Amino acid sequence: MAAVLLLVAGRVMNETGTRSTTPAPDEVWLAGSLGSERSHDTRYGGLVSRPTEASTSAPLQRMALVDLLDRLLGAGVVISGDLVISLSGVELVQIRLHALIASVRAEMIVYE
Amino acid sequence: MSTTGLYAYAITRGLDSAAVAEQSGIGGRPVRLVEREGLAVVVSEVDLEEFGEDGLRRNLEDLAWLEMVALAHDDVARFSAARAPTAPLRLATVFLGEDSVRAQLAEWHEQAELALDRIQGRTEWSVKAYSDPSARPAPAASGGDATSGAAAGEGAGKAYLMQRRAATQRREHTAEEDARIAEALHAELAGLATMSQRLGPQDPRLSGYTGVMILNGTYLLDDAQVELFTRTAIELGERHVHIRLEVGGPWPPYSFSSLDAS
Repeated sequence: MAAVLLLVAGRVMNETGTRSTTPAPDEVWLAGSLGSERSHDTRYGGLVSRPTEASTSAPLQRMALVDLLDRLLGAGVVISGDLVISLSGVELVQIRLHALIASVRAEMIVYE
Repeated sequence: MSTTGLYAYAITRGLDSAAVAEQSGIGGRPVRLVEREGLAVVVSEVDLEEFGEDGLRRNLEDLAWLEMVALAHDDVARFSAARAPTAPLRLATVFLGEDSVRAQLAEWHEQAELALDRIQGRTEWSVKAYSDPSARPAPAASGGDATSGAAAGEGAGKAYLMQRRAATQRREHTAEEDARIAEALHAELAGLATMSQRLGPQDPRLSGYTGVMILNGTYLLDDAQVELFTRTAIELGERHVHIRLEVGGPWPPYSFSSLDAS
C-alpha cells in the first residue's frame, strides 16, 4: 500500500546578518516517512530553494502533506456551486480520508 | 473515449502568460492561463476519466493519488504566488472548457479582485503549539494531599479512587491551562499578523507528532512583518517548558484566499 504520510517540520533558522529585510527561509526536512514504491525524499527532503526573482521575500516553501490537505480540503479556499464539476462532498471526503488513514495506521512507521 | 477538462489551480493577476509555460501541472501537462478582464485562472488539462465526478469520488479515496494531485497543486500555486498575487483554489476544481472558466471568472471578478488585494505581497505562515504533559513541571501539592488523606484511614480502594479522581482533575486542569496558553499564544501572534485563523488540531496519525496539538494557527504576513513574527514565535516557544512551537512558511496564502472572506 502506497499510502504515505510524512512529517515535515518547519523551523525558523534564526540566522543573523546575511539578509537585512527577511529572515532565513525555514529549514524543511524529512522527519518521518513510510515505505512506498516511490521515493518521496526528493520531494520533501532538504532545503527547498527557489530563485527569488519575483521579490525580496524568502522563497515559498513546500509544506507537509497534512498541512496542505488541511488547506486544500478545508475551509478558506474557494469553491463555487456553479462549477461544471464541483466537489460537493468535501465533508464526505474528509471522513473517507479518516477511514483510510485508520486503515493504514498499522503500516505506519515513524522514523525519528 | 476520454475527454479532457481543465483543472484550475489558482486565480491570479498580472502573471505573464509566457512565463507559465515553464511550469508543468498534474501529470506533467503544461500549465496555461485562461484570462478575462485582467484576471486569469491557472489551468492545465486533465483526463475526465480521472477528474470527472465519478473519477474524483473514486480517486479521492486513494491517498497516493490525493498526494500526487495535492503536491502538483502546491507546485503550481507556489510558482504563481512567487511571481504574482495568487489566490489558490480548492483541490480538484475542474471545468469542462475555457468558456466555463471564463464564465466563472466573470462571476468571481469582484470578489477575486478583493481577495487578490488582500493577499498581494503577503504569505501564509503556520505556528503550531504542542503540549507535552510529561515535560510539564510537577503539579503543586493538591494531588499529594488527596492521596495522603485517603491513605491515612480509608483503605486502599478508596485511596485508589481518590488518586484516580485527582489524576482526572489534574488532566482537566492541564487541558484548561493549555487552552489558555494556546489562546494567549494565538492572540500575541495574531497581533503581529495582517490576518489570522485557527485551524482545527491535526490528527496525530497524520502528522506524526507527539504530545497534544493545542494550537494550529495560520497567519497572513506582509514581508515587513515576517522578521518580528518569527522572532516572537521563537521567544514564545521558550516561555513554557512543556510547550513546543513549530513555525512553517512562507507558503502561498491558501487560508486567506477565500472569495467570500471579509
